[in-house]
Amino acid sequence: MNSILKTLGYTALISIETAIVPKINAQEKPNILMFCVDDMNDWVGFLGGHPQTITPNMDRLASKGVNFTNAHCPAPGCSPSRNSLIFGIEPHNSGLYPFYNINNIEAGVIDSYYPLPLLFRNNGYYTKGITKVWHNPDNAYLQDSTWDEYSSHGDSNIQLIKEEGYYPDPYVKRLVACPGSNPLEDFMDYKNAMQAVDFLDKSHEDPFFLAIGFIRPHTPFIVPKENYDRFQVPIQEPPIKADDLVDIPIAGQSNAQIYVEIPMRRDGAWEKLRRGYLASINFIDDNVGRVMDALDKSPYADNTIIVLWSDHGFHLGEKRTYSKFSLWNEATRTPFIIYDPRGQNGNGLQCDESVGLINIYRTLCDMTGIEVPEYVDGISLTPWLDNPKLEMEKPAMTTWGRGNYTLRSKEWRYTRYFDGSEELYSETCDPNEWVNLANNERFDSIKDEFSKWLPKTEAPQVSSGLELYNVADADSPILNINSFLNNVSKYNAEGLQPPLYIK
Amino acid sequence: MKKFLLKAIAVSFTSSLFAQNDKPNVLFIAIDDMRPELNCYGESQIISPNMDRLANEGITFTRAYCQQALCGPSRLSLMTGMHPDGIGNYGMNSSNKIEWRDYRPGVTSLPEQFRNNGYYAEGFGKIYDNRLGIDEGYSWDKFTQGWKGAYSSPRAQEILATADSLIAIGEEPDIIRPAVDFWDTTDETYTDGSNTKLAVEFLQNYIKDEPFFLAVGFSKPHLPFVAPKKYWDLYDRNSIKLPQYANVAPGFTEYTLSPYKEIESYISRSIIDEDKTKELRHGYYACISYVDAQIGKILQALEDKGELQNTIIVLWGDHGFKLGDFGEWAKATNLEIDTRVPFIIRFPKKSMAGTKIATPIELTDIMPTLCDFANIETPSNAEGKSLLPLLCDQNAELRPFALTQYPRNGMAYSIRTQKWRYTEYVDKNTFETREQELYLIRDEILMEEENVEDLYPEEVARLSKMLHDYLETAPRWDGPAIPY
Repeated sequence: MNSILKTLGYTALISIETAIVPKINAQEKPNILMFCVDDMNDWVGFLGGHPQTITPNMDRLASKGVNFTNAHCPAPGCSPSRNSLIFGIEPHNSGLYPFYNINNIEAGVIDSYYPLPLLFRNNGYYTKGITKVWHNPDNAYLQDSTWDEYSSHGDSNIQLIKEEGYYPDPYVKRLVACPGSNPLEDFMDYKNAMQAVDFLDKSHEDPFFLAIGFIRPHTPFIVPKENYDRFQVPIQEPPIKADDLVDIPIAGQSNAQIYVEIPMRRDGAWEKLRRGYLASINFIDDNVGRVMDALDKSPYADNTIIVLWSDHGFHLGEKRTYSKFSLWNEATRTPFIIYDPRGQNGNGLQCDESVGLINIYRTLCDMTGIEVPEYVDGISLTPWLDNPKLEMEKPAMTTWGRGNYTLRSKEWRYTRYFDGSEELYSETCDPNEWVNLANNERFDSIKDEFSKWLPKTEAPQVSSGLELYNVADADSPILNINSFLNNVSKYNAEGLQPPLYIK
Repeated sequence: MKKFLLKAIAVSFTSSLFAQNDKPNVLFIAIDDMRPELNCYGESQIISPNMDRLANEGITFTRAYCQQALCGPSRLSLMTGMHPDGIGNYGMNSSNKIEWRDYRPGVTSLPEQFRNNGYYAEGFGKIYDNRLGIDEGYSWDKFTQGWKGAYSSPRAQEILATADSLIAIGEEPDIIRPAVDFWDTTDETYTDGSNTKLAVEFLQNYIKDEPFFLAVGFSKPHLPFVAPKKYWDLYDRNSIKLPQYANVAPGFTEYTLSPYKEIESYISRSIIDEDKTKELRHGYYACISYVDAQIGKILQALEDKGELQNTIIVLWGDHGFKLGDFGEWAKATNLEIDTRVPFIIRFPKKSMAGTKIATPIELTDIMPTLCDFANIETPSNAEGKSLLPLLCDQNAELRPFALTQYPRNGMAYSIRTQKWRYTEYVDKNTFETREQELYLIRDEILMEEENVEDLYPEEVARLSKMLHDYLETAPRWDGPAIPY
């Protein structure tokens, strides 16, 4: 009854038929607890990406559920990735390739998409959203109809201990890595966690869908001093090949964020940033632990499906770049765990098959018996929760700008850019993706095989509501490349080491 | 009686000549796959000033032979003083790594005996072949393998990734992994330089009262031939010589060469032309110069510590290697080029500096020699002979021959006298003769030029009898061999 009223506020036609489902007994429906993490790559214990990382709580979750070790985001940027994931539609079908403030998209363009929490709400779930579930400015999109409760939290006047971190001069927000001296209560992700803890302490009659969007380890790496103190230098440098960009086509090269590497190399700050990143992940782990402890103590522990994902990965120097916005492993690969306490055969195992986060939508619907809107992309991963060794035929796809797609199978990565240029990596033989095999004709058969998975049709780029647009693609082939070349010249003109080699 | 007396005098003279007041330290240097193509062996291709210095200050054994031309068995034989038949080991297996000690608990190894007699023993790198175990806790108070991987350069990484990717799709690459590589980098980038740094630090920081037994095992010039660029730059590729005997010698049997084509796990033999041969040899030489530079650092550290004159230094190789000789790129035969090894001893007070001894000796002789010199009882499992009598009288009758063996066509035993190399293939159980080879080895060539078995039947008979007389009483492990 309640759900029908909510649907009335929601104008999409598609919602009418999917929303009318019989009211299901609250006890039978599992709750959903979804951790949405920002910019977290494989530097977590359960993926083994960095030897010094400390993530006992997420490791515990991974060891209970199915740990998808080869999961890839729909897009390597917060906005396109989350739009795909929450709406359940890939960028090449929605046209939402770069960043958007979706509140500013003109009417009729995305109205037919059904945000995942709203679907749950319309199916009898009590929905609670905390901070960054969607890309920040999109929070308010359908906020009132999507969430029974929603709150967003920020840091409170954090005092930075600059001498213990890196604070670039001139200031670049994305490069700040400093501990804060404030008490824990002042840090937003602690607030986010405590919101969830309070929620779990309360009694709920309806099944709930609780989504917690943590901000860290997104830049700036500002977390409590306590978390920084757990990481002592030297911080191990990830594998970096100085001339890594040489065998990559210009469309790919231009994804390297050289302008941030200039101050970092100048100041010798790489180690401080990596330390800040590890500290930020560790802080998130503390907060995941707080929520999991609260869940364990609550009456919901045995009936709450836990999902943890990150919107995409993060480069810390690998392939000569920093942050995300690329189609290489560091940016596309993310942590991804599903734990269903009701007993899945796969619990406690890891799934090494290549899977896309795009599948979260259908999977959660499948696990809760909710009918999926027809437009939704992806597949349900429930067979893999039962048997993580099951072979996955279709590679996971990541899109970055119209025309730029990378396909990741268990063994290969094949990338095709808007201008037809390509990359091919053997992930088993070359996990660092150092050797582009695309121009070696002996691998043509592999490329041919992957080509069939490339999109057959491409939605035009949605032109209203555009926010950040920082990629060379079919709609803007020149701008980003020029800016990249310009930054490479600046980098090399300064004589920074190691030099940047491009074709 | 007269002979006995002479011998007794000789021994006491030797003892006084090499008398030690204190227990000497031992510096034990092992080199992998290095044939004795050094200046101190009368050659001129290789730049190795530090090994040459050792030879000038010590004694060079120009006819030293390993007991099996393969890393694992050769080293285990040397370290226990037992022939492969005695310890019962003929190979190793990287997919079945074991600790040899589990199979031979009653055997005492060389460093173990030194530990039993008040020494502190520590090792770095490759002394035993780790596929047979490193024996830490028995042979060593502490052992660090320090393996840094075979390759580091970006070029090598690219070749590897491309080759592996081709294999993954069922294609055959010409280069499976690089057989050679150079990179403008520090010595410490690779295993040997890195272990040398650790050994130097060991010497600098050593404060124990006990004398030390320091073992440093270099992994080069084993394939792949990888060394920092500066060692490659010591050589002019054009002046690198091609092998003198690049073809099979007349009379080789089907068993003379090994079916083990080591180079083929790196590159296809079809791409080894003259240029590639020179490149490979260049790499081998560069690796030796690289190892030599590391030896220099250790000698310097020993000198800086003030212990050079109180340390006996032993340098040995586990077997030789064919660099295109007889058309092969491997060891694993009973041929002179695979069995003959570098072996230099520098005594603390540089006794008999610069001496060259041409009597055929075995690596099993190292254990009794070092024990003898340090006034330590030689373990009862040792089969070799102390070399100290030879130092006094180079014609002293130490042994009738040096023995090498390889499990092939039954068991192939090869004996080396001053003049001959005689190889006989026998049934492992009955010792029944299956095949015989005889080579007259000229001192100036030190290669098998022709199998003259048919021309010298009396020699064949004499040497065969000598071998069979030996085999009848030779120590032989009567249980199962150490698995490999």
